[in-house]
Order: sequence, then C-alpha cells, then structure tokens
Amino acid sequence: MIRFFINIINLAFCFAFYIFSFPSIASEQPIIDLSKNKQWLKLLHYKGTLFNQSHIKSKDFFLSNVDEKSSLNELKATITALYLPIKKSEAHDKHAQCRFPARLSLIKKELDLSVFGELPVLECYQYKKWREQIKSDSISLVFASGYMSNPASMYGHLLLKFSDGDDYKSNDLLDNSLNYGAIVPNNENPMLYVVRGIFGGYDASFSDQQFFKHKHNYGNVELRDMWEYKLALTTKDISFIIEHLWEILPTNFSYYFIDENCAYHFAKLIELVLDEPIINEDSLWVLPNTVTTAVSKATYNNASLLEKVTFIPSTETVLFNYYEQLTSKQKQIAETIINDFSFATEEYKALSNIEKKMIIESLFQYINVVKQKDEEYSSHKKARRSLINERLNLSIGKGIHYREEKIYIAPHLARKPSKFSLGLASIEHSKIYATAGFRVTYFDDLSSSLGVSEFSNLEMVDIEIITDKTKAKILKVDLIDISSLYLPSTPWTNTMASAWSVRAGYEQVSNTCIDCGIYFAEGSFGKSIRIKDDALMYAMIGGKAFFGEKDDVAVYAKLGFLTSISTNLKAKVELNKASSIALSKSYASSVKLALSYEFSNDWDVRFSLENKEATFMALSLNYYWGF
Amino acid sequence: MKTAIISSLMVGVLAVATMSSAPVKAENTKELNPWQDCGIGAMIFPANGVAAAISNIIWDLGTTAVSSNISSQESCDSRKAKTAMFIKATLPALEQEVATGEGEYVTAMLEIRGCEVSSHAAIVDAVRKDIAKQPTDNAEALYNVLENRVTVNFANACTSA
Repeated sequence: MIRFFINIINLAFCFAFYIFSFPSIASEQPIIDLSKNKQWLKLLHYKGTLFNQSHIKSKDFFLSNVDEKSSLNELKATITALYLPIKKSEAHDKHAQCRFPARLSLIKKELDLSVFGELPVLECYQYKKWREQIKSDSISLVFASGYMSNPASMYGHLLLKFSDGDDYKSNDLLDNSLNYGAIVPNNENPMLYVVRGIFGGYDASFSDQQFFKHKHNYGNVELRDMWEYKLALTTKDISFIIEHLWEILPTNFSYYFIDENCAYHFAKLIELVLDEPIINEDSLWVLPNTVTTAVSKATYNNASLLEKVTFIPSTETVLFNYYEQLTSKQKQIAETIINDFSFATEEYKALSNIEKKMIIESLFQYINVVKQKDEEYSSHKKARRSLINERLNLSIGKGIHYREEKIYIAPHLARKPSKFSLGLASIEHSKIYATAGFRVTYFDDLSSSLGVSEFSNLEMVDIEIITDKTKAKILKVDLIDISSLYLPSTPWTNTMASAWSVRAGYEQVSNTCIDCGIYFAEGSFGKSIRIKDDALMYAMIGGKAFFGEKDDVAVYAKLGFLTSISTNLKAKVELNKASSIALSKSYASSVKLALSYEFSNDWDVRFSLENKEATFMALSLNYYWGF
Repeated sequence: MKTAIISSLMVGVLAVATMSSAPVKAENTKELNPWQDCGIGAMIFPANGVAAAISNIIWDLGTTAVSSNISSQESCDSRKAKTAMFIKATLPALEQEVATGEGEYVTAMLEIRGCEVSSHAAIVDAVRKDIAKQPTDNAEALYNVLENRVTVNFANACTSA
C-alpha cells in the first residue's frame, strides 16, 4: 500500500514537471509555431537553414540538455527556465530571465504566458546596470577603411555604434560601440595568424566599448578614415538588438576571416529586426563593404533602412585638410618651427594670435601622424610638449577647423568586388583565342576609385583562362595582386609620395606560348608623382622569384603612368625592365598598355596590349557582381 | 485548474526565493588612486598601427574590472576611475585639446567625470593655468591636475563619485 502511494506521488511529480516544462498537446501549437518564428531562429544564430547547428559555440548559451539543439527543444527549455523559481542562495543575474532578455521579450510578445502562470519577478542587477549605460535612440554601422599594414584589415572593418538622440551633441566619443573579432593570442606567429584566420582555429566574440576607444585606435593610431551609416530603426527594434547583445556578449563563435567575420555577424545582428536578409546566407565570402552596400539598398518599414552617412576623418586626413587651409607663408613658418620647435623666429612672433593657433594646431596633427608612421622618430614627445606649452600661451578656442571641402565617397558606392570576364585575344596578330576570367575580390587600379583608395589595387584570386578551340590553358592566376601607387608624403617632410606592390601567382614566361607557365612572387617599392588630380607617374624597383621547371630570381625596375582620360575612361602604361635571367632573355623587358571604359557601374570593357617577346592583344567584357 | 495549481506552486516558490536579502555593499572610504588601485598604470595601449593590428583585435579595457589586482571593483567602476582610464587611453589627443581649451576629447573627459556642462569652460581654463605653471607629461599627472581642481574649486559642479 505504501509503495502504491509512493508510485502515485512520483507519477504526480513527473506530471507536474511535464506540464511545468511545456504545455499540454492541446496548447502546444503556439509553441511549435514560435519555434519556427524567424526572430526566434535568428536569436539562436543557426547556420543557414540547418536549424539544429548554431554559430555559437558556448554550451551555456543553450538551455536544452539534448544534443540536438532544435529550435523547439530550445524554446521549451527556455520557457521552463524562465519560470524556474530562484534559489535562495543564487543571484538573480544567473536566472534565464536575466540572461536572455531578448528571448523573454519575444516569448512574451508571441505567446500567451498566462497559461503557465505568473513569471517570477526578478531583479536583474547586472543586466539593468549594463542596459542603463547603452544608448538606444539610434544605431549605426561604422566602417573603418582598409588598413594596408595588416592583411586581415585590408578590406576594412565594421563596428556597431549606439547613440542617444541628440543630433546636436558635442561629440560621439562616449557612445557605446560593439566590436567583433578573433581572439588572437598575444605574440601570435604571423603565419599562424593568417592560416588560422582563414581556415579556422580562432574563437571570436563580441565586445562592447565606448566609441572613443575605436576612434582612437582606428582614427589616431592606424590613421584610417571611417564612415558612419546611421540606420532608420525604431527605438523598439534597437532595444531588441541590445537585449540580444546581452545574451551573446559572453558567448564565443568560430572565426573565419573570409565568410564568418565581423561583416557577417553584424549583418546577422541587424537582420534580427528586418523582414528580409541583407546578405545571402550562402555567400562564399562576406566583405564589410558588402554589408554597407546591402544596408544602403535594404528597406525597413517601407522606407530606406539607411538614414544618413557621415564621414569621420582620420588624424592624417585632418592634417592634410589643415595643411591646405594654411597660406604659403604660414606653411613656411611651420616648417621652420619643425626644425627645433623653439618658436623663436621673428616671422612667427610677428604673426597674429589666430595665425599662431592655426600653425600650432596643424603641427599637433603633424606630430601625431609622424609618430604613427615613423617609429624611429623619437623627438615627438619633446616636440609635442613644446607645442602644448606654446599653445597654452594663447587664448582658449580653436584656430582652425576641419573643412568639408573635399568629398570623400562612401564605400557603399564602390563597384561590386567580384568579376566575370569574357574576351578575345591574339598573339602576334595571327591566332585568335577566347578568354574567360574570374576574380574573387576586390578592385583594381583601372576601376573607378569611388569608395576605395585611389591608385590602388587589391585583388585576390584572379584567374584567366585561354583557349584556341583545341585546348584550354590557364593564362594567369594572381593569388594576390596588391599595390598602393600613391602614398602621399606627410606635409613638411619634403619627400615624394611612396609606392609599393606585392604580387604572387602563376603567369606565362613569354607571350609566344600559352603553356609556358611558371609560379612567381614579387615585391617592389618606389616613388610616385601626382601630375594632376587624376594622373600619376611612378617608378619602382623590386625583386621577383620564379618557381617551376626552373627556379630563378630577377631584379627589375618599372616605370608607369596611370590616368583618367575622362570620367569613364582610364589608361595605364607600364614599362618593365628585368635583369638578365636564365628563364627567358626576352622576358627581360616588356611594355604594356591597358585601357578601361566603364559603361555602367557593373560593366566595363577593357583593351590591353603587351609586348613581352611577342605581342599579346586582348579585349574583354567584364561584369562585376557581389553576393 | 492546471494553471491555478502551477501558479500557486510558482508563486510559493518565488516568495521563498525572493526572501534572500540583497548583497550589502561594503563602504570604502579610502581615497581612490585609479593608477594603483585599478591597475591603470599597467594597461598597455597600442602605440602604433602595427602593434594595434597584430595585438588582439578585441581591444577591450572593459567597463568594470580592469586588473586582477583590484582592491575594490565598485570603486574602479567609479567616475574617477573611468576618467583616469579615458585620460590614459586618449592622452595625445586629449592633452592637445586641453592646450587648445576645447574639443571633443575634453568635453568627453568632463562628461565622464560628471561635471556640469556649464562648468566645463571654467574647469578647462583652470587646468590650463595649472599645466602652464607645471607641465604634465603623462596621463597620471594630467589626471591629478584635473582631480585637484575638481576637488578644490568645482566640487559642486561635478559629482563626487
């Protein structure tokens, strides 16, 4: 009899636990429906359409104990956890209501929770304190332009920024911002850094900081311009994103530089409150620029998602801006000051206070830039101190302000990064070949420079195939082809602009054949002169190593001219002269002319003529696209 | 009926659970020195572009604890500690703006310190005069000048925390 009662009690407990855990079959349909709700699925960061595998690696992000992290299991486990009574010894902050405020909001919105009874009332101290610090009147994506000193940053970087509603506030340094990046150990081997970044091996996570840390790091240290893309989201939706941030801040993701990077995860965060995705889930690669472009085209509440784009100049851009505002005489006086920072010249003393302010404040920017560009420049501390002391002698108030005269084109207006091409080629004006090409990313120096660095080339995986009906061969492969042909010198340094390039891949030794390919790697550096706004002449020297049937090394020099003939027409001429090499003596010199005519943002036609032992002429039609 | 039973159960459990008292915050009357007490002196900030790029992409000072050797996390989350961190993180730009007498970094610093906007110009003016007499060449010195001025002349315009 006693055993009977024990069994009855056990059964009753299990039944109570069952109905406590999730509702009866009759009322389960709303839960099943919610488990398929787009926002619920987004909150769990599922990979693609596989709704049982998440990007989030942290086990404690999931409340269901079963191995299969289905959205239904997780929803049931979440509802159960939201109703769990708080233990006397436990802090409320660990309770599901405090850990998962976005899940709670969505469940409250979509389900009639009255069938489960009243939710426990909790005091989420940590969440409340954090939430009070986050401004939620507006949200922006911040694009930090490409940083050529680090391969991982060449394509730019994205942040998310939360601001208050005061459009007339003095600055945005204390706004909240969210970063996403790989967790890289200190002193990581650079090769490992690249390999693990691309093929996996790093965890990644979000981190929240005040915006001044990023503005300082990107704008003052790395000298990168930024663009702020303010989104037209309602405060309700911004709050929902912020609630979800609290859920994912303690979690880890897997980092993949090419597709599961900052751009991908920020796009996913924004998509949390959008009806349609802004990036394709199946994209093989996701660039920061892809997301800004997508944001500029996306709609939200039947209007544009993008409200405003604001340019945030780097310290270097501010320096050039100030320099342009100085008169020739002021520039000259500033140059004499740079010699010893003594301010002892009669010319300086004779200046008005406002002119002195202009010069000193311009030199502040000069010192900042020189310090970042030249680590060997050891006297910057003394120079800065002298400038500060001199500036303290003058009255309060800026003498010079950033003038928005030059228009910087925002990155979302840049041409799409990937390319397909078809064309015809001839060798020595006799035989005709068909060509086809494919480029993964990003831009080249014959493309429009709108939204990207001027006179620069950043191409990765650019393949060209050639066929004469009987056989098809790989004509060339550029694994990387990166160059920056115009790096203007810092004002007052009296040096020419610099240029550099790095290239590696596979190419034909001579134009006489299409099956004489060889692997190569080359690097060069030099100087350039900007002849007018849209023309550049450069001279570089470098080294090139060949690998294949024969290994060889050559030293070479090149002289080039790059110009915009009209808005849509660009031309480039380049002469190459290499040291005598065993591979092919005639390879030692070449001349190449290339023309590009852009007849729409997505299309251009290009003509090239190259003499390298034989004359190679090609005409191609190029289509630019992106995911 | 089922709902009523569950509700009763849950209300009962919740009532017991919420009886636990809120944690009592310890009073800390010792004057805070953020450099020593919060480990700000040991913080490393990227000094140049390459270092910033190769070092951890997530450059996070955090908003609460900043050192494993913290005497009081509460005090290191105070306005004084946050002001000290801000000065340390942005010194080159900040000290130039202090010398100029205005700018976004100066305004942000005084906002973090909790000083009324109407007092900003006077505080900056006072700090400039102090620095002109006795130049500061590091973040801690600038912090001390500011904190001294706030304590002596602007206590009413700035929060005490």
